Amino acid sequence: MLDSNSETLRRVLKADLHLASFDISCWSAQVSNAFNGLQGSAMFKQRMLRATQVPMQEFIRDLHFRHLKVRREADFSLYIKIKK
Amino acid sequence: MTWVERSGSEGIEGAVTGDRVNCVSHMLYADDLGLTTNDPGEMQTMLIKLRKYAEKKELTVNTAKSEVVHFHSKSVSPLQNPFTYNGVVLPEKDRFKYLGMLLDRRMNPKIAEEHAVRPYMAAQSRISEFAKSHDLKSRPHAMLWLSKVYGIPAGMYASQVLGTVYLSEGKEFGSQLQRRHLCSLRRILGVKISTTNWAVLRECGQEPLQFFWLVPCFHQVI
Repeated sequence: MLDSNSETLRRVLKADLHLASFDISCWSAQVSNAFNGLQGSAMFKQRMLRATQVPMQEFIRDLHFRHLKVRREADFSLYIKIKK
Repeated sequence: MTWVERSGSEGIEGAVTGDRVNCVSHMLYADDLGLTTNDPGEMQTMLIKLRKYAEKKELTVNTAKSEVVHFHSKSVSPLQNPFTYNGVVLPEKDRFKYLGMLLDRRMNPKIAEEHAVRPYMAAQSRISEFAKSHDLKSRPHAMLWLSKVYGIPAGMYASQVLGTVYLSEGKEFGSQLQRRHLCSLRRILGVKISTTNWAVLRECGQEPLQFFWLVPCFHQVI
């Protein structure tokens, strides 16, 4: 969107990225919150809020890992439940 | 429709955004135009400018499809003088559809989310009809494949806007769309409704919808 041919869109996105530092309900804040729990969380957040390239391969690998971790936790709690 | 760039937004402030600095006077995509402002007088001025431009270019604005929504207003009709386009009074509504997204006057994301579930449900219905006519109902692997290929892409529409609330860890199963998707997966597998979400997804070899929504969100920014 930062390369969009619409000046309004570019300005609104920049404003939203700026807003993310003090308003958790804005679009950029919600997207950057999605990085929580990832191994490279801090780097991804920083890059997104600075509107620089996020390494997609690394991000997808991290996301898979996060899902696996949550799955393992869910499996473990189910195992405990069954055992009881 | 270059009127907005040339003269439509000239001298018009538009609606103020969250940072109180940038304003947006219009949203334009192909022939779908949305005008936004905090000042009713400005709105009528924009409508007059639009009429003049449309007349000059011999374009027609479909007033039957044009609606007025007062965002964050207590009543549907707070204005004494309604907005008009070429003498036609534009109807006031409490919600309107723009590019397939439903926006209500309270900007309630739940209402928009409910509406966004429709394409997915329509895709599921088509999958079901197809499966019935090809006798695939008893073949879970084929049903899962159809669901992955046709169902999930239908659930992608507007996810960059409506799905952001559900992108963080622990909110994988918060969205209506994800819950409905899980219901359809349970039906395919023929398992109880009490079967845990992660177990269902793992059995189907699928990721939560969050995974498919996250990637396009980053493509939006960069």
